[in-house]
This record gives sequence, C-alpha cells and structure tokens, in this order.
Amino acid sequence: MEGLRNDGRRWNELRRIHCQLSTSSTNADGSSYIEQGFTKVLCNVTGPAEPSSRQKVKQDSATVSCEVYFAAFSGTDRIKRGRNDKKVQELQTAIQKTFSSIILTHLFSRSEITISVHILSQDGGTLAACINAATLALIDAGIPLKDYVCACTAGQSTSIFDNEGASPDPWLDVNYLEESDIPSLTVATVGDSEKIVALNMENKVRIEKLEAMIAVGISGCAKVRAIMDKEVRRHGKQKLEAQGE
Amino acid sequence: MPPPTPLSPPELSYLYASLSLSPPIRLDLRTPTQFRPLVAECSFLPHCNGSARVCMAEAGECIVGIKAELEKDATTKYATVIEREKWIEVSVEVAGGGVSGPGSGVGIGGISGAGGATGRDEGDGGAAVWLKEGLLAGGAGGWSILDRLVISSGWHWKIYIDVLLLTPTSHPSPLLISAAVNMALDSTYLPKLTSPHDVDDIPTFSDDWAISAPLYEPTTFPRPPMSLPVVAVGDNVFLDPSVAEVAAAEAGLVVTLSLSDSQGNCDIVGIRSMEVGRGGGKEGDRKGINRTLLRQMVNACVKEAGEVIKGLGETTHKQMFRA
Amino acid sequence: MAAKAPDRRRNNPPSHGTTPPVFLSSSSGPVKPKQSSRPPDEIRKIFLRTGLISSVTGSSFLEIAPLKLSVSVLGPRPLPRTSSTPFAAQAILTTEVKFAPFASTVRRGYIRDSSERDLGSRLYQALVGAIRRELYPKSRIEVVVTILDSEDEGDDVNTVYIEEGKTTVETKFWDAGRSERALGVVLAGCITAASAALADAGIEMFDMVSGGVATSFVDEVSLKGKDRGDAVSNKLYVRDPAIVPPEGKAPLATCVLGYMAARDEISELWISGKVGTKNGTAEMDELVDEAIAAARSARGVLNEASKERVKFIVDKSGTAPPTEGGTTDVEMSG
Repeated sequence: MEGLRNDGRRWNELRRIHCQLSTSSTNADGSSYIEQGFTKVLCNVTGPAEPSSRQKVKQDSATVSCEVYFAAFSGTDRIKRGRNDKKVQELQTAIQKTFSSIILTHLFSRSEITISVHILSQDGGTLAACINAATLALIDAGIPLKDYVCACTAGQSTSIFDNEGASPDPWLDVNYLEESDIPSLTVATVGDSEKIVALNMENKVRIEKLEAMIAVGISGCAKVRAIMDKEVRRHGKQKLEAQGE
Repeated sequence: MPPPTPLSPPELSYLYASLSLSPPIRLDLRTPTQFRPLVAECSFLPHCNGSARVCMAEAGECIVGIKAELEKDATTKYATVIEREKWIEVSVEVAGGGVSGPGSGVGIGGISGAGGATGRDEGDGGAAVWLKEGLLAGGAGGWSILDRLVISSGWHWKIYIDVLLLTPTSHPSPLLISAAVNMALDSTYLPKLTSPHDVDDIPTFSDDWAISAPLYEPTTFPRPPMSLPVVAVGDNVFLDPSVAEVAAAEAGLVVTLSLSDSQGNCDIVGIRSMEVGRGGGKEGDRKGINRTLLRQMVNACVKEAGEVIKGLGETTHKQMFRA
Repeated sequence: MAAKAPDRRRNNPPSHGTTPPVFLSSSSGPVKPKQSSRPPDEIRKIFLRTGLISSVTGSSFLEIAPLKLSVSVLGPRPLPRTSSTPFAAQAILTTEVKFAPFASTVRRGYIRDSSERDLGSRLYQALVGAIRRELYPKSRIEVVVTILDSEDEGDDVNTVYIEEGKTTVETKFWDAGRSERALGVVLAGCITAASAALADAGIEMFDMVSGGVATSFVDEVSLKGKDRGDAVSNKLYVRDPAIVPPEGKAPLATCVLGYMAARDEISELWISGKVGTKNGTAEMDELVDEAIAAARSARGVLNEASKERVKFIVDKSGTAPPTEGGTTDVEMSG
C-alpha cells in the first residue's frame, strides 16, 4: 500500500486515544487511565501531602516525586523490572523533571506530590503515554498546573529518499514495531504554546531530519491536547451535573 | 499484628456491640451475607493470555495479567524431572496507590499475617502461596489444572500469574485479589497446537486466536477457585467484611471454593484462618473458633458463594464474547 | 526474569537429590515406596522435651519420626525505644520458621522462602490468640523454630525416569496434596513444640495449643470415575499422615489445625484439597474432627513434657512439689 504504515495509518495520524479520569474511587487524590493504541497506562496522584521522608521537605515549594511500575505482563515477554531498573529510573526522572517545572509548586511549601504510574501494556510511546496520564491525574487531583503537558512521539524513516525521490515524511505516534525499527523521539509541550518541556531521543538520526521530526511531534502534541481537553471538560461537566442533582 | 485501623478502642467497642446484636447492624447497612459492589472487567490487555481488573470501593483495585510461556520439561542425563508444582508461578506486587511505598509490611487480609513477618517486603509472599494453593488444591479431585498445561511429550506451558494490587489499606480484602485472579483465569486462552502431540520437537501453534483453547473450559467443572473472607462477631457471621469489621471481629476464615456444577453448588478447596483484630470484645472472650461456629461460618460461605462465583463467571463470559 | 547466571567457578552439585536412578524396566516390579504399618487413627510417637537451650527464656525440642525441630522463645522483652516504634498495649508476637539448609533432600538457602514465611504466619495465627498478650504491654515475644530434619521423600516422587527410546510411560504423579501433607505435619509439630516452649518460658496463656493434622483419602478407582470421590462412605481418614499415601489410595484433602483442648477452640485452621458440600459441612466436620483427635493425642504429650519440666525444676531447687491436681493446665508464674 502506497504511503500507509504497517498498521494502516498515514504518516501524520495518531493511534486511537482513549482516556478516563477518576478511575479509582478512594485510592488516590487523582487518577487517570489512558490508552494510546495498545499502550495502556494507569496513573495515580497523591498529594499535596506531608512528605514521606525528611529529605523531601523543601521550605519554599512542594517536592514532586514519581514512581513508575512496569507490570511484569506489560510486554510481549514476561519481564519483571525492579525498583532499580535503569529504564524505570529513566522514566521516573523524566516524568519528575517535566512536572516539577509545570506544577505550581510554590503554592505548597513543605509538602509532597507523588505521581505513581503503572504501565499495563507497552506498544510504543510509553513515556508519552505516562506523561499524558500524569497530566490527567494531576488535573483530576486538582493540583494547579501552568497548562496541559501533552506528549507525543515522532519517528523518521532512515532512508534518505522515498520512492518518488522526495525526502520521506516523519511518522507521527510510532508503535512498538516502528519504534524498534526506526529512530524516534518523544516530545512534550506545554498547552498551546508549542514550548517544549521534555524531549527524549535514544537513537541516532541525521541532524537535518531532526527539525522535521520535532515539528511533527509538536503537531501531534496539539492533537493529543485537544483529545485530553475534551475528556477533561466532559468529565468536569458530568461531575458538575451530578453535584447539581 | 492485627490490621491497623483508624478506629479508636471506644469506636471498635461500639462496632462490636452493633455487630453482635440480633439482628446485627453493619456500618454500611448490608445484611450479614451481602457483598459489596465491585467493578470488574476482563481480557483488556493485548499482550496477555488472560487479564482482569477488579475494583472495590474501600479495598482498592487489583489488576491481574496471565502469561503462558512454552517450557521444556527439565531433563538430566538419566531422567525427566517433572516438577509440576513449578508450572504455575504466582507473584503479587503491592503498589500502595501512592499512599504508601511498595510492600510496606502489607498483609493480604491477614492471610500472610504481617505479624509473622519479621522482615520487610515479605507481605506479598503469603498471598502468592495462598493463591497457588487454591489453584492446585482443586487437583485433589482427580482433575488438575496442571493436566491442562501439558502440550506434548517433553513440553508444557508455564503459567505466570502476576497480580498488581493498588490499594490504600495495608490489609486489602482477599476477595478483591481472588475475584481478579478468578476472572483472569476464566478469560485465559492458550493457542491451539498444530504439531502432533507425541513428537519431541518444539511444538508449533496456530496464530488464529479464534480457535484457541480456554484454560478452563467454560462448560466443564470445576471452575477456577475463588476465596471468600468471613468473620464472626458474637453469634453472628458476616461475609465480605470491611476493614473496620475485621478489626472488631473475633474470628475470621478465608474459604476457597470452586463451582462443581451448573446449579451453583460449590466444593470447598481450601480454608485458612484469617487474622482479625479482636477489637471490641472483652478480655477472656473467644480465643479461637469452636466447632459450631466453624460450621456456621463455612455454611454461610457455601450457601452464598455459588451465586457470586456464578455471577462473576457469567460477567466474564459476557465480556469475552462481546468482542 | 532472566534465569540466574550459572555459577561457573565451583563444581556445583545437582539441584535435586542425588539418589541413583532406578529404571522402571530393570526392576522386577514397579518401585513402591515403603508403606507404614501404623493404623490410620494413630499418630506417630512424639518425643518432646523442654528447656534444652539455656541462653533463651524457653525452648523445646520435638521429634516425630523423621521430623526434628527445635523452638526457642525469646522475651518478653522491652520493645526498642525508637521514635518509629508504636505504643503496644499488648505484647507483640513474632514467629519465624526456618528449615535448616540440610533439613530436606534439596538444600534450602539461608534466606527464608515463601513457604517458610507462610509457615511462620500460620504459627503466629495459632499462638497469638492463646497468649495473654495484655499482660505484657510494650514488649515483644519472639518464637523461633528451626527445623533440623523433615520427612521428605526427595524429588523422587516427582521424577519420572524414562528409559531411552521409550517415550510413552504411564506416568503417575504423586504431587497432589503432597506438599500439604509434608508442610502440615511440620506445622502441627511447630505448634505443639512452640506451646511447650512458651510454657517453659513462663509466658501466661489461656490454654496450650497443640497441633493436629489429618488427611482424607479415597480409592484411586473412585477418583477416576465420574464420582470424583463424592461418596463419603469409602473415605479413609489418616491422622498424622506420612508423605507416601496408603496403598491404592489417593489424597483428597488435608486439614491442619491448632487446637486448645481445654477451651475446645480452634485457633488456626488450614484445609487444602477437595471437600465436598453435598451434605452441608458434614464432610468438613469429619475431617476437622479427625485433625482434632490428632491434636488431642499430641496434647497428652504436651502435658507430660510440661509436667516433666516442672518436676525437674522443683527437684533441682529442692522445694516441695506442687500439689498434683487433675488439671491439664500448667500453671507457671510469669
């Protein structure tokens, strides 16, 4: 098929995104669940609460901490990842850094906000799904944010020219097969601003391709934001209506 | 140590008093044999052979993923070592839902009894032992789940049951975990074998999930086991106790049952005593269970369980064939 | 998870027992495990003695045929005074069960595995109700059980020896209920011995807990049929069962319990296996009654061992012996 990817999408199409807020009733202050294709992530947020340890107390702002759990059954093969697994640590740091700059931490001095992310199923774009889930859970918890943080992935086919001799378009929102095949990056932006808060790439790519990839990624973030915003508004409306009765 | 509760001794004493009335009054106004509502869905993880998610308001949320892997029977120079008990591996991971750190001395409904554990991060081991015991115990009836795992001579499935528990309390209800595992097992399918049974080569399987075989045939019995917690206060017996009720109770059991026919009759496949708080009672009260009470508690489970297990099974099958 | 990297620096022994292989065809008949001549309603002889370890508050040593275990009781002693220790109105009991590395055919590691932790919490459950914990606030009592030897037929029963070239062998698995019977006997021993050690330590109890275990068996034939052992009539109950099932019988369910004979109460109950419910709880009752009967027999030994110890102490100190009452309770001031 001309111009179609292995799962039938065009280069600039997202996979189906399904998101939900307040998924667990009493567990946490905020919770969310997001599916991006077959990548499924659950997120719980607690706080602002008293820090769990002394080291986490900051006099003038809140501490943001993040816990990432990979379910042993989340991949194709069963892999148990411990607390000190490199990939887990990497994700934790990425999410923690991203949200430390987005949450209005100065409002909650000497307290801690914990984001715990559970990865139930992996099919490419894990970090992006985690960031999106965390945004939704933080909104659900009522924690003031500067704006939405939305993340998306973009990949670039390694061939220099496609069949027509033109430079190939970057692929938006890569799945697992694509992710393991071609270089890809994860980009997260703040709201509508197109300002990047997180950018993560683990492969080699030609420098001239990078800009196009980031541009496609940013356009994907805007689409993701629209979907998330719609769900947040729907959820909020539903909640208000329930209260009104 | 008994499950910690936010309740003070006077509150426990009040709770104890209201639960030992005739008829008793439960905090949430349930009847003694009424269960709390739960939300359950299954087969939602594409990478798993079977999966389920069960939520209960107070107890939290439990996600179970079951994966089957091909494994060769271990052979030495002289013998084929068949350790069938190792064909099923259960692991329980407790992530405190952001409330507490992972495995911070958690005891699953007192099954693992945090009191017995002198170290940390030991709480979930007991639950894994208990879940596996329930699965294998059904095998005493001449039929064993392990028989279903045999593929061909020299090959078998190895089943990994991973339980992920997101819970705010340190002593979540065994019902939550057991319901999730029950649903996940009920929705587990294994790919169909396409190579002959009696060949030692690596078996091959069909890619077509439409012809895959269920681990538990939906029309045959026994069905996957399910455990019900039951506590006693005075002369009254309560099914599916809440955390507060466990703290006030004098005696507790976890009864594991498995459906034995389509009418909803159950066989007992295991009973374990459950750790309870012995909160509101007076000193010198009951210290154990006498035989009359034991009979009463188990009877309550056997009578009520059939409908619950059947209901859960029907929900599972509805969700399975909807897709 | 990736398998542990093999240890290449040492010449490792096999992870299983090292009994020489027995080929099915080379022996004249099928290999049969040794059958016991004990009647089903009789428990094995118990050897129980207390006060063997002088460095702890209370101790006991128990031997039931191949099972050998020692129990140490430490405390009651004050809880550490740290900020993290919560106030305890009642004594905190901790129990620990550990198999010695050489206690079974397959070597056990030094770190407690899940079945040992499970035994520990079962033992906790059995003892916690019996101890008068409210008399010892802000303190802890530790019960440590070390199993020195246990009945373990090794992995022989799970090993199928297949002669080369022959692939179809009628394999018979004896694994059903095997570990329950093995662990049940161990747990029952732990409970009885721990009670003796607690009494030796002078810790006040409402009653002494003794452990009992019973297994129900059915004919192998009836298991095969549609009946699936529902007929209650042909059940054989064996108290204190050995790992090897009686000839021609298949195990159905095992019941282990901690029993307080003077109060007629069960402090710990553990049933594993299939118990039918056709006649309500009748089938369970029968099994429980058998286990209680086994526990009662063990209680006799427990009483004697405690009396023996009292007599020994009295003899040594040279004071007048206490009046020999008919009471089964051992009164020892804490």
